[in-house]
Amino acid sequence: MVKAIILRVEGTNCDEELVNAFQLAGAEVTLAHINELLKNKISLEDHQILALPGGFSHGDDISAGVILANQLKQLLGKQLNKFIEEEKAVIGICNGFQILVKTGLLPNLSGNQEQEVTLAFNSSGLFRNQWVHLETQKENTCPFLKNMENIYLPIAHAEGRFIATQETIEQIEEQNLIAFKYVGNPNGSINDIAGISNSQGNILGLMPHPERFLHPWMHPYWTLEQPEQGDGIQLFKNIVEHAKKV
Amino acid sequence: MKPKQIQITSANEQQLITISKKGLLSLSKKEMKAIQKYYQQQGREPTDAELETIAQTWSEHCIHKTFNALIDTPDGQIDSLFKTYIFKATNELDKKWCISVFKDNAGIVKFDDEHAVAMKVETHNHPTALDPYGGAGTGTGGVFRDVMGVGAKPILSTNMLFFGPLDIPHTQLPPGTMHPKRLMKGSVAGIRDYGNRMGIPTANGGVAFDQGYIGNPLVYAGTVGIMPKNKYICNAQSGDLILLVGGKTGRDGIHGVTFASVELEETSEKTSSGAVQIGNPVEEKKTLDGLLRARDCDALPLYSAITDCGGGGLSSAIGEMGKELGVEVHLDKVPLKYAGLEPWEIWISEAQERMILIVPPENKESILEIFKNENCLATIIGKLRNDKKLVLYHEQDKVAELEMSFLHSVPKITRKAKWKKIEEKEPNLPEKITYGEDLKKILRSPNVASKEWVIRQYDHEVQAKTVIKPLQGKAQGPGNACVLKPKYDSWKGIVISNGVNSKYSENPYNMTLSAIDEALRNNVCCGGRRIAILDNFSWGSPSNPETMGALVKACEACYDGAKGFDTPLISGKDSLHNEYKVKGKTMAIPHTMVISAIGIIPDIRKAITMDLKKPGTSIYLVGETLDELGGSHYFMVNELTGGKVPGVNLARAKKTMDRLIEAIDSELILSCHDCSEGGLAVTAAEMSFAGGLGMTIDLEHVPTNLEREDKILFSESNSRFLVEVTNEKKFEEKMKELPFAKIGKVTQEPELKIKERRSLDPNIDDKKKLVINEKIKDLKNEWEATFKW
Amino acid sequence: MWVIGVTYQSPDVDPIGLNKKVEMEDLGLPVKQVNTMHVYYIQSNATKEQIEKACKELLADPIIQDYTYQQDTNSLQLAETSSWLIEVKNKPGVTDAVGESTKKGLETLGLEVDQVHTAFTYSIEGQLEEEQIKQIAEKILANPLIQEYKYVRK
Repeated sequence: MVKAIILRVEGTNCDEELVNAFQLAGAEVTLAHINELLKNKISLEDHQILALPGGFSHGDDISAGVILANQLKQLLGKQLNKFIEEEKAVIGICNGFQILVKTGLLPNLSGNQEQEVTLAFNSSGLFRNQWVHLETQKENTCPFLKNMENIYLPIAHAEGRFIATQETIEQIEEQNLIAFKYVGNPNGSINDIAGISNSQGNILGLMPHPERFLHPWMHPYWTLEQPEQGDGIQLFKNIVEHAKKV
Repeated sequence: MKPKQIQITSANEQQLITISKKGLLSLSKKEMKAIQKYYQQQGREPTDAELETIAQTWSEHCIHKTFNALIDTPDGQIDSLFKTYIFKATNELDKKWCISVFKDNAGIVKFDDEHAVAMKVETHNHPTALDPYGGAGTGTGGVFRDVMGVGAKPILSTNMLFFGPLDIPHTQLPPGTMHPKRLMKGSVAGIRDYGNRMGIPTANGGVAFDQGYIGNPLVYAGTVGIMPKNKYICNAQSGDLILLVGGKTGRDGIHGVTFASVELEETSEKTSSGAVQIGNPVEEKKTLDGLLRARDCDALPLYSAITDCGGGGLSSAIGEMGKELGVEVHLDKVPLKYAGLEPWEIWISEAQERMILIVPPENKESILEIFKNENCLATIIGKLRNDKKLVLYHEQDKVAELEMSFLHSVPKITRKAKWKKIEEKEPNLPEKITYGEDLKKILRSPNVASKEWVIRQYDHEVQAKTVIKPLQGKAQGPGNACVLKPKYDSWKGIVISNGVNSKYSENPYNMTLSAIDEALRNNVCCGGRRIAILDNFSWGSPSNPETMGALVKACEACYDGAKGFDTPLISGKDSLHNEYKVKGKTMAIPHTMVISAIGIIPDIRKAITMDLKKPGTSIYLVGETLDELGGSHYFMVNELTGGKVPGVNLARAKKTMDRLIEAIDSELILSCHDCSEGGLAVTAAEMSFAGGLGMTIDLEHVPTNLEREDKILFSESNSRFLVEVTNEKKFEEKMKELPFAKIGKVTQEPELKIKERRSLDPNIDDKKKLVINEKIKDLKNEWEATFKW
Repeated sequence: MWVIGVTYQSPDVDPIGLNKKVEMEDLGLPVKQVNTMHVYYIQSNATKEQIEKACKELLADPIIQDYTYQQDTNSLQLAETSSWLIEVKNKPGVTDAVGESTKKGLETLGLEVDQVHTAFTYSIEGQLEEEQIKQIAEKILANPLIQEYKYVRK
């Protein structure tokens, strides 16, 4: 059975629903506090999927995700690199995406794991919770994006504005690393970028929350038009599918 | 540190009062004398820590002196508002599904065979006036802890906020007060940052405005939690250890509870700065993570009892927990933020994010390990005794020793109540040809206007349990209640709503019944039933007999309402002395009664939202519209006073709500919205906003004795619902014997067209004029304009 | 003690600065621009190299922020601006959660740190008098109950 590990620290708070998402998708799930990894009670090695959930790790202090990003690099760097080299799956949602971007694991154009893009404060300067339509980018070959045409998911963040230099954006577009684009940009992200993957196609980060739309009754107006299923569940199924082959 | 002694045994009355004032103890002459007597009997002087402990424990906030007082009213003496009205109603209703009411930190009711839900609502008014961000934030954090304090996991955050008018010029603000806009922005930010960081969805609430809140903003914070029934545990034994978990202790909030009983003045800022608390939500999240693991790692929790550290700090939490057995605490073991705190300061500090767990000695190692893994401080600071004494040590010095029996024996106070005459004079009100402008003014008014700016700052979906969200319909209109589906393997849901209208404060009895009716109607609109309610009072000074009289009337209404609707009161709180002194003049808030309601829906798939769904469907109005425009928004926008405040016909209201639930369960309804501020006209507009559709209504069919169109459009009579009905025959069968009528239909055209009731030529129906003829787009623009910040 | 100031490369990515400007305009003040600087007062005997590393990896976002640092000074000396500077800091004893997290972050990078205190410094451009600056400080930027503020005209 495919094993997923979901990493939490102080301030993580979207973990339980993420555990549920992976269980529904057919994985066996471990919810681990970073202390358990640091004390070697649990190891990344035993798993095929690493998921970084949403929330406010370390309160979003200094900037969202940067403290945990540093902890990952300094304290778990070796384990993490091995995990990625073995083509195992990594997904970061919302705060998880912010963490991946600040460790340099996404987009990692140079291959040196340096921070190349950022997720800054929304243009409004305020936290915002709303639903957005997303265009899944067909040219992106990341296996996690299979069978997901255009999806509808909620965002809930204060620091979701995707920013990078002109040069970096062009490279990302050229290499087809964009996974999702917003329809009706809610936060000022350049080129409406809502999520990206790495060139290997085994690391994905996105600001919207797929784990919040696993079932039709989570849709914001399901009493009017009930969808058949939640738009988010396919993503998790794809990840588990990919992890089976690892 | 040798404890400091306070000389009181030979003090005269004046000296006793001075001691209380200087120490910010808020103890009355009667109370100081009772304390003096106790120490004369003990043959010694009290230590500073002992006096502080007594002051905290006997404070209004902690012991509800006014609600337990003897009250002299023109109609006789009442012994305890709490016993006579609040608790009496619940006691008499004797619902088997009430697990714990008015006993623990929160009210607890059954959810299903396995789980229970807990709810608590608290006010945090005075600290918010001084620092809106910190005050509202810690108020939110505090009420989360109340629910954690019964061992439940918080799954919802709610809040009701009250501020002065947003357009008041800075030059007109009373000295020492903050501008309402600053207070509002700060409070919303504080609640947002606390709830979002803790991962608790904020999915229900409201904001209202009134001149009377200048200088005294109000913040009500509420929480709902869920827990396995068998994990609700209250089994402390002698010898069990006292474990302090969470944040470090500092001088935060010292004299917060005694401060809450004092009226604010210009110089409040300088004298009360210690009373402001600053929150750290990640600290509380760590505490919650540890607590849930300590609760669930085994068949029974690792702790034998649990409570939170709120008002009065350790002194209240531990003093309360150890009441039956006695406690011993070593204050030097408490982790401190900085050095230099006196033992009494450690004992009464209101530093945030702390909980007390009582732990059987055999579980000590496991529970410490759990908190260590969460990077959460956990320290054993004492143990439970068996001699019913409270003993405090700091290193080798004994700094306090009190008998629990004395500590928990507050002298009963007496209050005087007078009934204020209710003015119901009808104002002179000329009729108009159309009322579109009035409707627009009401939609723009801050109480009614769209609060999207506020709502979207709160994460209302974290934990993925919010199946009916605060903004409803494709076009996102204002929902009545939110519905949570807390369990993966069950269709059962929790429905949360609230009701308040301080514009009705002229008639406190009717105001309270209206608040109960509103909370229940909001709940019923979504499909909620088996409802429990919570009462939260924010009032002026109870030393004022008319203010006290209003409080009595409100409590009477709580009893009548709870009994009449068959909805037990399960928890409540009061915040008194919300007054502001400027140049000797006192400004009190309008009596503000917030009722929160928590109901159950057996299957969330049948939940109903308020957005119009299908053009061509019929619209019914259920409930009678009466001549009750006192306190209405229609009067307000026309600058009128007087009129009769809406009352509640309890028997009929209950029957109406029961039948409506049956109609919902039988799937006869597509959408449903209740009538409240702005009456029928606003309800119709809001349903249209949310659905992106329109409505036509003919006032001729409205069940009422009124003839005037404006009164029918804008009366705020209670217990009324606008319903979009699919199966008319079955619906009419369900509603028989109740006042109801088909009054219009849903249209594809997004316009609100309302026909007058009386036409000049009754034989030609289509000659009837439209008293409201507006594009939904225009109405929605008005509704959204006020808070487009 | 090291003092580190982190600013934004362009006002476009400084929404707090933009929001504060709007609030000042609401009070009728002729404010042209407001820029914010995150300030970290770090009590530590870290070397210059360590501080440089901390800025690059932790304190400043390389995509949108710039940093500057100096020893034994305060942020009003550190900042460059053409008009007024106001520093807002929590009073001693008031919870500084960001300071505590920053300490943890620095320790992860191998620094030995006694304490970290944070502050915010606002640089305000506009024709303003001292009285107006005080008004801005007390009515918009700080709560004098729990925060202290200092200002200077550059």
